[in-house]
Parts: sequence; structure tokens; C-alpha cells
Amino acid sequence: MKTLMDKWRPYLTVFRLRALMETQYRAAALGGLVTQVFFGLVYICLYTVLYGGGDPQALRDTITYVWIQQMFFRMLFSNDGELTNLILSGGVAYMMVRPLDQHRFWVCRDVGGRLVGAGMRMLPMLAVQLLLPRELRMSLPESPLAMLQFLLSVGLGVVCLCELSAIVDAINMKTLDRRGISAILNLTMVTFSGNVIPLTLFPDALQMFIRFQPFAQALDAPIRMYQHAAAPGEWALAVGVQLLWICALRLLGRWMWQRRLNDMTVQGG
Amino acid sequence: MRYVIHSVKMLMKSAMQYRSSLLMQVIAQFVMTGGEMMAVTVLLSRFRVVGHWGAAEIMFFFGVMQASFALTELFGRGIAAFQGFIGRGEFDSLLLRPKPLLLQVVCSQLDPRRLGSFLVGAAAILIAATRLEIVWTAGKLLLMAEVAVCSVLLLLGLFLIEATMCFFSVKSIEMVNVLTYGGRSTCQYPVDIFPAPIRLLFTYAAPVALCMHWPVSYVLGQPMVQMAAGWYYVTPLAGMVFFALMACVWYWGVRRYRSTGT
Amino acid sequence: MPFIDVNHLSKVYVRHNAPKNGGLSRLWKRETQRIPALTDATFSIERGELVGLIGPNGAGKSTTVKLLTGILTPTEGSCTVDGRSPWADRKAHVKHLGAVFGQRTQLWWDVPIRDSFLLLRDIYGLEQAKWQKRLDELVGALELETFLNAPLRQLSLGQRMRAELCGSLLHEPSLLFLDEPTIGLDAVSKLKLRAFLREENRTRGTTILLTTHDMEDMLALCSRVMVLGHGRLLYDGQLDALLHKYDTVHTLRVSYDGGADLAGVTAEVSRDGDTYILTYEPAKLPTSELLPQVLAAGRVREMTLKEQNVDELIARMYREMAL
Repeated sequence: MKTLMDKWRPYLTVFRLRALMETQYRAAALGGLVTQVFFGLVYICLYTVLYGGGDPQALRDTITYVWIQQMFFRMLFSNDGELTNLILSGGVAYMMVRPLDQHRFWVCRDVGGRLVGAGMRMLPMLAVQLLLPRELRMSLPESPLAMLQFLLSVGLGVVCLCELSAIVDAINMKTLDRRGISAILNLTMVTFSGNVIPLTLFPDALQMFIRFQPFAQALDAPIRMYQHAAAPGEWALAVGVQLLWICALRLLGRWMWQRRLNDMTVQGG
Repeated sequence: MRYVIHSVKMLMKSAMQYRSSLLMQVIAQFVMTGGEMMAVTVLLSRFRVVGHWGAAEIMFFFGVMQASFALTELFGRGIAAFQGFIGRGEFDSLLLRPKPLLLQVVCSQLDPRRLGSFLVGAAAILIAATRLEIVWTAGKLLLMAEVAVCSVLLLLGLFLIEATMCFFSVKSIEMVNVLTYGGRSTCQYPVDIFPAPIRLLFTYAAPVALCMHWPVSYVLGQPMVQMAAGWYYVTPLAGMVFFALMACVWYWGVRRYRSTGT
Repeated sequence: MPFIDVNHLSKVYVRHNAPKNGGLSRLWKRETQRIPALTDATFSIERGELVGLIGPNGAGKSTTVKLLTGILTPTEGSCTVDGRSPWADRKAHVKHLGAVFGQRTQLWWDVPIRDSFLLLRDIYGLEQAKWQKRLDELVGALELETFLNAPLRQLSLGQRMRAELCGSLLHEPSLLFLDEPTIGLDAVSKLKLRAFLREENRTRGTTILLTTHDMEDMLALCSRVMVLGHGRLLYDGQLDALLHKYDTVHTLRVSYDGGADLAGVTAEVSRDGDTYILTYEPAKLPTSELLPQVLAAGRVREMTLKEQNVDELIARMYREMAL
């Protein structure tokens, strides 16, 4: 047990340091808050027009979806220039003089930043809810159980996103291009996690596919739990899918990082 | 003018240095804007209509917004990415050269990747126009060209607000993204579907509706406001006025920057 | 077995470049280029040595350091450090290793450097008390107190180098690599850094291998020096002997009160105003023989003897080795 703790200590420390660091970025959080509230309101107006009074319950669900989507927008991006700079400058290779598992190190760091960053935007946005007229406001979770399931699921969602990001980073290490492929991947992530339009609004025929693809695990899966507490069997399935994707992405990411770092030791960065 | 042509030539040359990576990035932009088009399509496939607008009309509005925005970023990268300009200290070197400052900023950067986004926007317009069977007259084509020019100027004006804030070391600059990128997301839908605060904001404060939605609705044959046909050729000029005003504000920022240094 | 044992070590980089011409086919066609960076290097270093690695740009200095730190794997040859292979046994190897790359950072850019050190404590699994003691020691020696809470990005070059050095020594490595540690530092910082390194080497017996372009670093720190050129090890031995070998021409500037007759002087004579410039090779004409001739030539007012500047000397050495 002690050795396991020792093994993870540097990664926990970097998680904590990155989380602390994120609390310094208050101005950025304020900017994000204003932007996200604005986008939330615009989307809600749009959906109100789209539903046109036809299905009040569906509209309420969509409004709630939109608010959660906006609250956790920051969670989708790492907002961490350090690794990007290291990759573009070839400095990743020099980090190898440290006895570290680099993949794990950067993933842990990323999780810390995103959790705190998202939290810093989420809390004031919850407060903003109180100022809004009822028809623009998000609903409460269906039950305390739904809330619990939601929180756990968000945690897994962040990890899932960070594993995905690490894969994008490995691709960047190969292509050294900041905007091409990774921009497409980012868009895919934003779209298929449910951040552009709620995944519930995709065509019904596609729902089975849409719900279980990896990006949906980041945001869409938690939101669905927030809205409708899952029965134990259903819940186990949903969390199981999240865990499954985390493991799969983690294995893929680790393998890619190892290959890239190996390449660097042969090529010289 | 010679300066402009020369600058553009240089920028094209430097862009062509990395032809294959440029091609990749253009494709990337194409896919990304295509993704946004898909998102709109998904919504339209579920809801069929947006207020009193049909799917094809919405696609037309979407196309006009995306194409103008892409053109703005293509030619106006110097302004859109002004923060980096100040950050890297390049702006100071522009101050040393004997040419109009704003022109230098515009001419110093080009973003050919946006060609990808522009193509998607143009395609959306063409597809929608075919489906709506719009009868193109010389007048309507002229109006569309005017809309394009004025919208680009208007959007440049919006980016100029952001650029001006760079002189004041404001930390939450992203907030202004609400007007630029937020404006794009909002105003890719016709503004008359939104409630009054948003509608008024994008009609009179940041006159996207005057520049883009009113004349486009006239071209589509479903005018948002009732007025004599000639007026549709007048309202887009609001974009030019807006740009001129924001340019003045920006120059005021430059004066401040030179006297205090940031 | 020596502490560092390098045998026939070679490294060839393989670069894939897009062809210069060929339009669209540039997207998939590639040209392969083989660049030998280090060829057949053999040397050994004992514990506690302070060795300098010099050579012009592109000579293979950094490649050598990267191979020894385990950042690169060699194309051929073998190398052990303290009995371990740097690349095959990388994690165990780097635990006992400190490295500072002058133009790269090993600390984290945007956190206060104190936090970076804290993180390093956990990375190297150091005990709190030991770490604290060592940190205090290094903070004192490197004068880091004033900026311990500033993030790395806000530090000046000299401060950053000191912080990097502290970060690389917290875990008391037995081997320290320095890749151009004094690059861009001002004179005072350089002196302090050198004094610190000498002390570290003397009191702890830390083996130090450093690459540099700065000959003052060499003179101040290293008794042993290796010269690399075109990826080959051209010289490995005492710095003094190297200097002696190439320090062949001395210059003596003499001015006289009144007239002087230098006919009896066997050195080569030229004039700069009323100063005579005598150049000679001490190996052929010992200074002790020349001086009496100079004194005999007239009433000497002023006389200065100039050895070759070390930089000039190295430049000459590179020229003669055809680098």
C-alpha cells in the first residue's frame, strides 16, 4: 500500500499544483463566465423558438442541458500552454531526464486544471441562475440520487477527456502541427460530447451510436443522469461504458506516448 | 496601393512555402465549418422550421454569415489576432514605418486557411439558393456583393474593439469574443427570431442585421422590415460607418499606447 | 570499471524531408537523409572528475550529452554509467542524474519555482527532512531566496539558470550534466556559477560533464577536456597540454626611450608607431633567450608580453584540425 502511494505521489502533487495554479486565473474565469452565459442565453432563445411551445418538457430538458453544457465548457479544453510549447519546441525529450511516467504525469496535471477551471466557472453560473426568469432557468436534478450519479459521472468524464487529449498530444508530437489535425479532433470532441447541440437532439436513429461513442462519455452521459436518475442496472451500464472508454483510451494513449518518446530517443526530438 | 499589393504578394509567397501543410489546414477548416453546418442541419432535421423561416432560408443565412466571417479572418487576421501582435512586440516595429498604421496591421498577416471555411459558406449559399429557386437579377447580385463588403467591414470593426482593448492590458479580453464569435454563432440565424434584447443588440449596437439580415431577407423575398426597395441598398452602409468609428477608437488607443507604453 | 565507460559510440540521425520540388507529390514522397552526429567515440571518466566538452557548433557535443543522459539511443556502440545503460535502464539511470540544458528548461514554466522543487521532491521520492535541508543549502548557495515564489517565466536568464541548477541538484545526483550553462549570463553571474560548481565538485565529489563555448568556463573549471569535431573525438587529455600545444606564438610589445637598434633580436619584428611588436615561438626561441636581446637593444620604457587569447587559440586549433 505504501509503495503504491509512493508511486503515485508525484502525480498527485502535480494534480494539486495544477489545480492551485488554475485558481490564479480569475480574470480568465470571469471572461469565460460572461461568454458562457451569453452563449447559454442565445442557445436557449434559439431552442425556445425551435420548440415553439410544442413540447414544454422537452424544452425544459434542453434548457437544462444547455446550461450544464455551458458550465462545463472549460472542461473540454486543457488550456495548458506548457505541454503544447514543450511539444512544439521538442522539449518533451528533455523531460526524459526525470524518472517519470510522462503520459501519466501530463494526464494528472490536465485533470487538475480542468476540474478546478470548470468549477470556477460553474459556481458563479449557478448563482446567475437565481437572477434569471423562470423560463430561462435550468431545472434542479431529478433527485438527490441523480445529483450523486451526475457528480461521479462528471469526474469520470473529465478523466475521459484528458485521456483523449493525451492522444491528441501524441499526434501533435508526430505532426508538430498545432492547428490541422488537432483542430479537427477538438471540433469532433466538442460536437460529439454534446457541447454544440445537445446529443439528445440528434436523429433518433443515430442515438444508440451517439450515446456510446467516447466523446459522449465526457459530458452527455453525466447530463443524462442529472435529468433522469438511472435505475441500478442502467446506472451500472452507463458507468461501465465510461470506465471502459477510459481504459481503452488510456491504453491507446500510453502506447502512443511510448512510441513517440521512443522515436524521440532514436531521432533526437 | 503598391504597398498593399506588394504585402499581399509577400504573404502569399510565405504561405506557399509550406504548401502541403497549408493544404491540410485549409481542409481542416473546411471540415470544421462543415461540422457547424452539420450541426445546423441536425437541428433543422428535427425541427424543420425556425420561427417563420424554412430550412433552406436558414441555410442561406448560415452561408452568408460563415462566408463573411471567413473573409474577415482571411484578410483581417492582423486585427483578429492583434493580441499576439502586441505580445510579440511586433507592433512597435510597425510604429517605425511611414505607412498608415491600420493598413500595416491588416497587410502584415493573411490567413489563407480560412479559404476552407469560405468554401463551406459559399456552398451553403449556392445550395440554399438553388432550393429556393431565387431569381437572380443584377440588382440582387449587386446587393449581395455590397452585403459581403459591408459585413466584412462590420466584423473587422468588432475585432477592432478587441484589438483596442489590447492597449489597456485588460485581462478578460475573451469577453469581447461575445461580440465577434458570439455574434457569428448568434447571427448565423436571422436576428428576428430572437427576443428583443438580443435583436436590438445586433441591429443597432453591432448592426449585423442592418448589414446582413435585412438585405438578405429582401433577396430571399421575405423582407424582415417593410421599406422601399432602395433602402435595402442603404442599410448595409452601417457596416462601413461602424468600421470607421471603431478605427477612430483604435487610433485613440494607439495614441494612448504611445504615450504610456503598456 | 570506470564510472562512465563509453565504447565505440556512434549516432546517426535519419531525417525524412519532403522533396524540394515536385508539387503535390510532396505530400507523400520523402527523401531520407543520414546525418552522422557522433562517430566511434571511446572514452572513460572516473568518479569526481570535472570534464569539459568543447567543439564548434554541430560537432556532436549535445548528442554526446543526450546519449549519456539516456535522452537518445545510440546507433552503435555501448556505454555504461555506474554500471547501467542510460537508455535501456533509463529510469534507474536518471534517478542519480542531474542535467541542465542551457537553452531548455527542466522546471515548469508557469508555477512558482518553489512548487517545482516540491514536485521534484516527490518525483525523486526524497524524504521531507532531507529535501528541506538540501533545498536550504542550495537556496543559500545559489541565492534564490528573493525569487523563490516567482514562476520561472518571470525570472531573468541568470536567475533561471540558478533555479535550474538547484532543481537538478536537489536529489544529490552523483553525475551532473551541464549543456552550455553560462550561455547568455553576465560576468558576475558566470563567476558565481563557476565557484558554485567547483565547490559542489569538491565537497560532494559530484562528477560533472559540461559542454561550453566559453573558454573561461574551461579554464576555471576543467582540468580535463575533450575536443569534438565533425562528430569525432579529436583530443582527450589535460587542458594545459592542449593549450601548450597550440599556444605557439607569443607577442612581445616593447617601446624604447630614445633610439633602439633591434638588429640583434632574432624574433620577427614589426612596428606600430614607436612600439615594436616582436612575435616568436617559445618552443624555438625561449623567452629567456629573447629578453636579454630586447634589453640590449636600448632603454626599455615599457614592455608587455601577450600569450594568445584562449578563444583565438581554440579558433586556431579548430582551423588546424580542419573543422
